[in-house]
Amino acid sequence: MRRKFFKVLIFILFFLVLDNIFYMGFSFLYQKSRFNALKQILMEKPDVIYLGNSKFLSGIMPEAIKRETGLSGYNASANGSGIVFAKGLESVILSYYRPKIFVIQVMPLSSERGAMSRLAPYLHNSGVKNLLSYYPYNIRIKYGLLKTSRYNSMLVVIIKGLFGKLDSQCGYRPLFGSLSQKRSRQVRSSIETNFPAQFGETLLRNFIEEARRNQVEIIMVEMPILKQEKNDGYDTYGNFAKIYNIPLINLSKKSDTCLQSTKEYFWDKFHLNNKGVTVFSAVLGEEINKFIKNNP
Amino acid sequence: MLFNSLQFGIFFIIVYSLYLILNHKWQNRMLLVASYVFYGAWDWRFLSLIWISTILDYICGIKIYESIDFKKRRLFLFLSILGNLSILGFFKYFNFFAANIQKLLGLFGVSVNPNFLNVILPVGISFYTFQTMSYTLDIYRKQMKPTRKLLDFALFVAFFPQLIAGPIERAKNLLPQVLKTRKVTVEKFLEGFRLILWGLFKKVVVADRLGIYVDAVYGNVHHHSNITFILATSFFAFQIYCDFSGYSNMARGLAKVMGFDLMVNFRNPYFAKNIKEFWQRWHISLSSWLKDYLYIPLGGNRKGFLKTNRNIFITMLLGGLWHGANWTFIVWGMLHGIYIVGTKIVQAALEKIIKDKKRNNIISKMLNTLITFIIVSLAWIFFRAENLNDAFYILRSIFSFPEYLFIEGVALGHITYSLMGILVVILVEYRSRNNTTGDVLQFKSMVAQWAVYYLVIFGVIFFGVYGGEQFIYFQF
Repeated sequence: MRRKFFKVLIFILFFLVLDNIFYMGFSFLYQKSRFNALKQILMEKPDVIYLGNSKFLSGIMPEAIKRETGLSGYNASANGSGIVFAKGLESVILSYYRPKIFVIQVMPLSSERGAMSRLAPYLHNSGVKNLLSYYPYNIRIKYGLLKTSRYNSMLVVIIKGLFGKLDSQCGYRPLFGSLSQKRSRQVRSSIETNFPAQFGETLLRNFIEEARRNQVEIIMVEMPILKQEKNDGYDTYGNFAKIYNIPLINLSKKSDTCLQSTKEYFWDKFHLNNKGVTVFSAVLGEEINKFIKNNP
Repeated sequence: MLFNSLQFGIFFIIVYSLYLILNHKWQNRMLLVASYVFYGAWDWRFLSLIWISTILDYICGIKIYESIDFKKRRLFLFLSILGNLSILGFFKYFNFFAANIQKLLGLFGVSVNPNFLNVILPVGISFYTFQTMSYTLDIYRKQMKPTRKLLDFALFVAFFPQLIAGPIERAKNLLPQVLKTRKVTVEKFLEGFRLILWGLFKKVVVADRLGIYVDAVYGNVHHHSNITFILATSFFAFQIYCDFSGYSNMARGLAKVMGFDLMVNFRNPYFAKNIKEFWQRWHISLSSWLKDYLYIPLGGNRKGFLKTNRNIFITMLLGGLWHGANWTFIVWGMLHGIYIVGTKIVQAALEKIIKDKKRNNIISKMLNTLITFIIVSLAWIFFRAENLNDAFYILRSIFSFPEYLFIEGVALGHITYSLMGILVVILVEYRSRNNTTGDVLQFKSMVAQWAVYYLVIFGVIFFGVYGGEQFIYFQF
């Protein structure tokens, strides 16, 4: 009996050792990966950080905005992101340096896809750790107990980042081609994590206040979409914009007034293509310029 | 409380700790309470249905056994079957039949407005009703004696590892294990651990990952085309296999560590070389149930060619209906009926024409396996589609000109992990294709065995999808 118990103990101990070895290995490789957005940001220390979901990722071209404003930028958006990811990344970035502006997309406050798995490598950051406390306890235990789980489903990112071609331009990922009936970007909702809207609002407030404490300006942006539907979070962002005197740029409205035919600028109903991004980035660049002039 | 959830992990640790310190009598009582807690965690109101089914079959079983009069025996069997099928029919099929009768009468200009039921389907109802029916049917056939221990019988009905999604155990196999003292050995514990581990891997790493692509495609069928549907349907074939066989593995493993032996529910079905063999390897507990209690009573293969094929067709059709009250499942069952009957006819014709035994070589075996996989996958389209219109749209698209492969909506990583997962499952299960116990992770050398444990555990941690996905078969 004692021998069996000893065997189980060895098994568990060896498991913990392996967990730490794998964690250190993945951590090292992730730091080397070119797809590690934070590594790029810390290397370039851009003036503007763009935070949003896939609409922002393919809809904001920092280079085009730089041409308008002279401000360097990095698009740190990620597919399926919401306010949780934005808040987490803000904490991580601010722990290293202070950009001039955070441009944040009006994005969901109550649902998020894969935010914590993207933030998990930065769980040593207290801001990210705080976010984890809002997650169900099984997720907290998973990330807390098993270090390897912080790199859950990141092997492709790591390998591609070590050997693959970097296809992004300052974080921006272009989408080529125009609107097609055969495209749908809808993925199942069950892989999303849902939060109470109140939690999202708290995070948005925290996001604004932390930026203010660090003297970083904020600009909110509503992205244009072809499908006419009201963004649930828009009113909330609008209220916060009023309270904290933050500019809220509605590119969706700009698309009606500035552009006659918008279809050619879209990859699908929700995402700008490589043509649309230059047009709308220029419009956003002008708006940022106006903001800079008013807030020197 | 899913097997792959932390809640279940804590629940099972408590149950197992108590199990190890109690004697047989109290083990059974504790397991019964645990099973009701497990079921009640979904919806405690439906516990009453399990109790009705339990008491009905307990009484009917004794009455059938005690009655000498043939008519009386038939009456109690009829009562048992009527009771169970009424529960199943009311909760699972009432709305379906009401809606279809309404449509049918509408065709003749008769307008009726049936009162549709606003109830949710009790989880696992198809599994435990079939399990309890097998008890009275076996007593009626004088293949077993009834038990007079109500609590032990109740445990046979509600035993939590297999309550929700099977295997649909036979009373002949499980009830004696409930009644007798069980022995927990290190070997059984390790075998159970390996079964749980492999089941967890198939569920969390493979099935749930595949589900991301499958759901994105099948949820928006009119946005996709040829190659996308082929990939999504092939993915679904592996998703449903890994999901359901993963659950069965975990169920068997959990029972095994407590000293129970549940039946093997899957034996590498995608290695089958024809459709008949596929059904000998797929959801064995259901297919053997249907064979024993439906196909054989209908006459089996004893009444000539036509009636044999009719019996096969009826069995498969009802097997399809068992899965759900939807025309998609009925068509799926019918398709399998046509496949089996068709294969029999083609095989008979081929045997007359080709008498060369060499066609049993490895290439023809592989070809047969591939053809079987393709036709099974085509039938899965009906199983997975939301409705018949979607299913026919997918079928039409598959046989049309290739257009566009959908990968943008889901990250390329998901597809890569999915393909890797499928490859691992095929390799591991091919390695132990002759293993009849399903214990595919067993290795003789201790070093290899530990390496496999660590690989699978880290595989689950590193590649697992943790979205709390339900097991597909819970809906049946």
